[in-house]
Amino acid sequence: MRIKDGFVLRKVADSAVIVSLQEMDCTCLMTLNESGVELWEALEKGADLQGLTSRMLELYNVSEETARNDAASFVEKLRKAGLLDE
Amino acid sequence: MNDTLFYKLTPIMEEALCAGGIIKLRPCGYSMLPFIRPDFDEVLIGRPQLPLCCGEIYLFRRDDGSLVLHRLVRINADALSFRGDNQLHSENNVSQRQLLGQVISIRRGKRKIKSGSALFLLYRLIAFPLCVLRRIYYRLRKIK
Repeated sequence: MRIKDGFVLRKVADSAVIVSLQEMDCTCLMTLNESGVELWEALEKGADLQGLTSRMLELYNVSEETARNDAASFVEKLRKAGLLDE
Repeated sequence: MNDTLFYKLTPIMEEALCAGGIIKLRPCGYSMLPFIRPDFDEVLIGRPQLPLCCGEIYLFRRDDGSLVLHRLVRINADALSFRGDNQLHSENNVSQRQLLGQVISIRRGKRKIKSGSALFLLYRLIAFPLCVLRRIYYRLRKIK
């Protein structure tokens, strides 16, 4: 599981957006909140689902189950948006 | 997406265009009617092709940061003039460094109008005569 080539995270104003530098679709941009940014940056470093769960546990005072569910939900959203290579 | 965020995307759009990418926008203004319908047509934009060509549609940034998609109508030594197809007056003194991109194609529903296609060229040809006709029409209305 890795981020597709060309997709990058950019911070503008108070928002973080994911854009493709090959085909930047301004009609449909994905914005990330603070935890989304952390998970995206972990994915960029090659983290898998377990790695994302660990990162959530490091950052937030949540149970392992909550962290795993949130990480899985994040990955699913990226997958549905076509941002991941399996 | 709110307008404030959109305008702050300009540096990223420039980055994408400089990297050889394309950007997709949905214009919201009425200035390019009837060729570009606001909030409906999607416009694909690539890097400006040199030499610049009168009649082509370019994306440029005004000094206030707003983004404009208009047709190039005149090229002077160091300044460009643009006008929307639905406008009577040109916007002069736009410098080349304000140019961000050039329209490659327009998608209207399932239909794609490519730059260089017959319809694109037809609009390019009739945009100016239509503008003149509109001037005459508005003057006649004033006289009445």
